[in-house]
Amino acid sequence: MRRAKKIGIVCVGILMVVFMFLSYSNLFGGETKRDITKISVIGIKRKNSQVEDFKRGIEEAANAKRVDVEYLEIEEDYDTIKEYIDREIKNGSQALIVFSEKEEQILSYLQSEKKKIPLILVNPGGTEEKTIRVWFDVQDMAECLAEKIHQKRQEEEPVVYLTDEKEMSERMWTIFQETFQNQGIAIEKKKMTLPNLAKYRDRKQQAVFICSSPKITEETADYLKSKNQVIYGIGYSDEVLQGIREGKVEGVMAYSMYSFGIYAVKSAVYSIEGKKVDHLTKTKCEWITQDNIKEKYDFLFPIY
Amino acid sequence: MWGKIRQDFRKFLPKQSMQNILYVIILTLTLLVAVFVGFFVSKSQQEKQAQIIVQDNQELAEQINVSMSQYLHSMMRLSDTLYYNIIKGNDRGQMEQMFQAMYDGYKDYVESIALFQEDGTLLQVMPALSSAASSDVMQEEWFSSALERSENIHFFRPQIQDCFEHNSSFPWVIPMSRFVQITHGNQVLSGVLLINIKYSALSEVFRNSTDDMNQYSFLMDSNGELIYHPRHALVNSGIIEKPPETLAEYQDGSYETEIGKQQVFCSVKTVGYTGWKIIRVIGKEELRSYGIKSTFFVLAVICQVVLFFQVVGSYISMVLTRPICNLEEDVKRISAGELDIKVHTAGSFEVYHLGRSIQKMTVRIKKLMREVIQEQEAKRKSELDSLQAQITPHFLYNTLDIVVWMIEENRKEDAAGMVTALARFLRISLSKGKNIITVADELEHARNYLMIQSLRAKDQFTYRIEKDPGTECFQVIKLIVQPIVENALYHGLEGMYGDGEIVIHAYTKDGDLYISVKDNGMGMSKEQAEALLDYTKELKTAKGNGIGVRNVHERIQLHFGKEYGVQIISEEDEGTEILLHLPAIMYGEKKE
Repeated sequence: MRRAKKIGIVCVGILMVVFMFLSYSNLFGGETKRDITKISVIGIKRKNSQVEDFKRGIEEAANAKRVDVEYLEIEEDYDTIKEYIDREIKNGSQALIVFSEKEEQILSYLQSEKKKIPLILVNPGGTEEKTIRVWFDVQDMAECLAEKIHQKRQEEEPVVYLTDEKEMSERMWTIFQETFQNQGIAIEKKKMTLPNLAKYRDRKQQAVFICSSPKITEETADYLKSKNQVIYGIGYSDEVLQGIREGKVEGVMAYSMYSFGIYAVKSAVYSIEGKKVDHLTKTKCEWITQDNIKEKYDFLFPIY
Repeated sequence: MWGKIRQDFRKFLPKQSMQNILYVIILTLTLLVAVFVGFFVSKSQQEKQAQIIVQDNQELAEQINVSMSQYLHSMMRLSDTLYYNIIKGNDRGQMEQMFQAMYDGYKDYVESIALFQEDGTLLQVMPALSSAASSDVMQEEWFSSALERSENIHFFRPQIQDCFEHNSSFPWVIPMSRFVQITHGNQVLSGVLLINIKYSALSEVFRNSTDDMNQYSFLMDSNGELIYHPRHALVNSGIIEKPPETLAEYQDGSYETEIGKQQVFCSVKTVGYTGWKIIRVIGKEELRSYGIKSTFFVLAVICQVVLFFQVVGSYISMVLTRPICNLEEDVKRISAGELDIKVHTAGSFEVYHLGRSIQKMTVRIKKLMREVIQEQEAKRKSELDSLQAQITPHFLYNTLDIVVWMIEENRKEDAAGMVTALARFLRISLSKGKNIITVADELEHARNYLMIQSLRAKDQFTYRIEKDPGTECFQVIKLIVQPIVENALYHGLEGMYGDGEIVIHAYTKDGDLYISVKDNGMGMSKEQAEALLDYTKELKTAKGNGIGVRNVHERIQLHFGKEYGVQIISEEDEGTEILLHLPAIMYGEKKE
């Protein structure tokens, strides 16, 4: 009986400690402990509202998911990216979100250094499923744009894809070319240079331009002031939207950088937690024209 | 069933100590009370906590409302000042500087201030912006509403202000408009005053309150459209579900509802003038987690109480039962014969009295035992007396038998001698009533007897009495040798004529006294010898039943103890030696 008493006292004591612990812990709800201490975001060093939206998306998703995020703005050259990746991994980063076109180099670098860390790339990518990617559905966008152009374009009007020859633009071109050809629309690629544009400005014949980045859209709209030319853009900026309002730009396929930030963090968290993450997380695109721009303000200017 | 349990319990009880039973009872009662009380405390605690949280939520909503009202009132004061002090009192051309001053004073909260004429012409704007070519203010809700309901100040949902050409991005603002009358020379024109309140300034009012996924506040207009939400962009992009518009219909108070898939408690507070609703939300999951935590806390407290009573119960049961346990030990010792112990009398009233009673009982038992011993001793004495009394008549009978025989044989001298010897014999027999005499007297007594017997038998036997020096002063029980001698004559030497011999020898050996009575008669078998001293067997011989030897044996043992007595050494046709074994005690000394 004496032994039973001792065992009883010990058991009740243990139970007391366990219950006390549970009453102060968050195992059954409440604010949970942050298991994910650090996610590093390596972004482009640019100052515009789009980048701000991306940062804001990152920040909001991090708050919602209760994770700490380190946002780094760097120049987009391979050596700097490599240096920052090394530093962030060393500093205990559990996942990397990289907004860069240097996808192949980053991946091969991580593989060669045998660094195993979830990598979320924010770019259109290729067809390979080497890592997790967040971007809009380029194929869907190309089809949508082809349809819009098809509705307005005269048969003889040439369709020109203006590119800055950066990797992102080139990747999209591959998809656009294939999609437009499938739709029976002849499309040609031109590098965005003023001499190239000048040829079209001087012609009397109307042409349709697809600008692969907001910057190209801005420059093209500024340069081609003639109403004969129809400009479509991919992505938007405040200047591009102003161009739409003024009728310089026919329409843009707008994608949300804010959503990129949100989904990139979400994918990173899921990867760290070992949950299944789609190879490509597709974000929404909106067709913006002079007629619907006011209705799309919520999408174009995330409110915060 | 119940009967069986009771039966088992009754069987179980005697196997357990009172301390354990008491301990288990205390513990069980504590546990029952703790669980019972804990259950109700936990339940009421949970309800109270839920009430407190909901109340806190309500208070927080009210606090936000106070801040919000102050903020809106300051904007309305700005509007009043602009209208009554600047627009109404001054000519159109004189307003610019005053507008600038007012804008500078409020530029942390106000994005822009603009004055439009009834036809949409921009008259004044601060900061200096140009009207956007694409915009038609007359189509704007804030413009038309101001003109339609001229008596009110109108607040609208957040929107991108695209009426003006902004340098950078288009800001989110909350438009506030009112109808104004503008003095222009002698004319009084109708117009609209627009104050674009910074959305970020409004957010600041809410940012001070706790904000996470489970607890947050948002603001909606009377149509259920969101004005502020901590994750407005997420709601707009459809990542988070939009709160239902029906919430705008709720009156001030607390409600249980659903936002998306989340069960929530909402505290609703209406902002004066605008009719906007401040809604403070707390997830039910959050409340549940508080409830679980509080339940665990109560369980921990129950464990503490049980632990405390385990220790206290153990101590109390030990303290209460220790006197009884001591008593039990005492009773065990008493039952084992230790009557001289002091019985424990500590403890409660009942135990104290029980101890006292047992102590009294022990004393009583001791007294009774002493009495029994005394009675036993008296009885033994009386038995000794009785045995001795049996001897005297026996001898007298035999002697007188001899005297009668001598007179019949006409041997008058022998008879006279016999009577003389008998007289001496009787004198020693009486010994003034003493039971203990010296060895010398006892041997003298035996000698008288043998003399009497030899007179009777006319030299049919010889006898010899020897004693080692010093033995004559030892004490013996009176009349123990004579019956043995008598037996030797009657049984041992029976049928022997002239060559019979009896030798009496007193000596000491190993500190004890021995008196040997030896004859050279017919002897006896071993069985007969053993039977002589066995009380369970009845001896029947031709001339007596051996009562003399057995009496002597009993008397010695009764007086000196079981280690003393008579030993018989006999061999058939060889003779018999009867050995009296006695303690060597000097006459006059008391036996130990």
